[in-house]
Amino acid sequence: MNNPFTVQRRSFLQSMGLSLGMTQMLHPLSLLSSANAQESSDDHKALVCINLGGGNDSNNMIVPGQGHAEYDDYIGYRRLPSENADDLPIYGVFADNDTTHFDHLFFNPACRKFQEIFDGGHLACLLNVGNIFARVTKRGELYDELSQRQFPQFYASHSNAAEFWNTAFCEDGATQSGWGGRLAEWVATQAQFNTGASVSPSFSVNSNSSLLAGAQGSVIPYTVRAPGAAPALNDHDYFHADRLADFGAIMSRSAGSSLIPHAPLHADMGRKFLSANDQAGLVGQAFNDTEVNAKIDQAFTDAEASGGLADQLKAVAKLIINHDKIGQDRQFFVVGQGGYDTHSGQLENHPVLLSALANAMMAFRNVLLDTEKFGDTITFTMSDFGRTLVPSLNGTNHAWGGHALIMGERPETSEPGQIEFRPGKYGNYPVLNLDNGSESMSINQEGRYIPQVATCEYAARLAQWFGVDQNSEVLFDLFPELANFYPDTTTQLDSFEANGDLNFLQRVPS
Amino acid sequence: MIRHGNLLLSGFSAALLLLATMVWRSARPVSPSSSHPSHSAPGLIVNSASLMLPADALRPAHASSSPRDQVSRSRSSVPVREISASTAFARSIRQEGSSPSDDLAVLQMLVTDYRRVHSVVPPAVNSQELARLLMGENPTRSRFLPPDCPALDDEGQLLDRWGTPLSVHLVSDRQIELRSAGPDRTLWNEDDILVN
Repeated sequence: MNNPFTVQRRSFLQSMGLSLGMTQMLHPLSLLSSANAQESSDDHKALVCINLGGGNDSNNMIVPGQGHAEYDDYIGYRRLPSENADDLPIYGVFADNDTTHFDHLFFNPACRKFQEIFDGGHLACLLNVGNIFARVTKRGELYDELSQRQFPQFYASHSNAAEFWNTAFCEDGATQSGWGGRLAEWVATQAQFNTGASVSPSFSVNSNSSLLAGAQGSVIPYTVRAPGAAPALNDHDYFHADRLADFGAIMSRSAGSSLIPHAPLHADMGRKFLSANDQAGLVGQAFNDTEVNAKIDQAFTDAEASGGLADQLKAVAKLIINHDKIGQDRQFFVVGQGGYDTHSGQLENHPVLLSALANAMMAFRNVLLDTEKFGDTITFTMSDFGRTLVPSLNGTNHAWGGHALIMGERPETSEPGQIEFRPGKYGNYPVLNLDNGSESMSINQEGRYIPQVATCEYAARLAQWFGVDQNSEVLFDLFPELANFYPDTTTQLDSFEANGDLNFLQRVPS
Repeated sequence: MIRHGNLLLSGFSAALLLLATMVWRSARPVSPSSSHPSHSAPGLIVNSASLMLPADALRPAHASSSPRDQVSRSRSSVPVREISASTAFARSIRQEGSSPSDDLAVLQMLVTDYRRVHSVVPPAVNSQELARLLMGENPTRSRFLPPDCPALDDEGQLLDRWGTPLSVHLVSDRQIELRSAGPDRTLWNEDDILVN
């Protein structure tokens, strides 16, 4: 016979949209009990991370076309080992080749809507970005003169690579907090941001992400389900206030017990549940705006965007559009789309994923444009790693560097000193030749390319746009590995800002 | 000290080989329905967890705790040191009376041995890299797989019994999945054999 409490407890966990994986430390409840709508300034900014889980084959998302220096090599290497010549080349069927504004790079037709977004001036592509902790430009530099390894050993491991991306820290064995969490904690220390807001500035939808795990435990990431915030449980028949208080007490007491496995995690979860419950009413206001909800639904229908990622971005759109109702002028969101580990069935599965991604991003852009929030928002992708240029059987293997997308809007009038979005292509498409020995950017004959832009550089530039742009000390504290790339402390911020590969977000000259 | 360590290792490895062979014989593949491989991909699952050897039997005398130091050594002229307990066991690959699943289980055990020495699994994403790492191109210059292993082809790839390179899926620094394409030589279908 089922234990009724077990069932109800599970539904309680589900209703809160929280899972057991969180390890973040939590803010004292006393600071989170306010459930009143807060004031928000006009200076609103939202970062939206779309995590493409499994390692996106971005070789098949952005493709060199005729006229591009790498076209012949791309065609040569990207052949299926098929006996049927009609199948060749089968990856990366090109979009129309009559445009050159993207330097002869093209989007896979499966994600044709990216072309529309790009043509609207709202998309940037960062080429060959990935997990490195030192600048290496060719295979021969992977070890330095003292035979020190210049790359993270497990760059091609799902778990490690995802952690590198989430922490923006690639040294093997180094455990760091998520860079989104560190950024949220920095926001919390700034008087000008989220003044008086009781709700966490960092949200994940349908999942927990270590990207949002802070270093100090001063900010609690808030997890919502795609349909909306969970209703407050205080009035529920089972979870009335007294029971919730008892629940919190039990969970917190377990923290000091050596008899309970994972006791600190229990206490952590308990605090998170209760704080989420406290804030449910407030966050719920963002989800109950029927006019906005109708606009969002229509935009996603029009763009043929459906499925898990689309639902998550709908939720994010609600929280962005109604940010003033929850008193936030800085928001950080994490959503995800899985299935990119295409060792097999790539021809069938990858176009479906790309199409869903492009459609969802198009719908998200359209509704934010419609509500005049698009200029406040930067949406960016990240993925464990790129995949091998050379296919194996009917799929591709784990590789290293890959291409990322950044979606935003350049302001109509530039303000000197501000960091602004610039559409276009950034970074360099890798030289695909696998046969030039130590000069090759590919570390083996599968086509596994050394990233030329570091994860920490990518993340740090996004953080600058978010507001961390006033001095190098803060930026380099939030992203310690930046110092590996810009070691001169007297010029490091200038050097970092002079890196044109990162100019998808660019400081307007004063 | 090094000689003494080698003597101990050799004696202990013989006993371990006997014990491990007995355990290996008792190990039986489980049916696809009893476990779920990652990727939700079909295939026969082999569990080699019971074949682990004691870490002390595997640790070379010069093993370093610093990853940087270890890498530095791997790039130097330090000779490869054979982990005899592992290489002896590896010689059972493709032995008469053993099965293709047994071969995979032995390889997975070598991966486990590697992890016991290095704290992490071999950072390999294909069978060629896995073979190189197991044969001594690793931070401690430890050899777990003999170069004359019959599963190796001329290009250094590890092949299954049907001649297909093994699929190596690096999940994390603690987990690696080895997969044989099985008799149909096509990966990711029902007749695959998987060790996790």
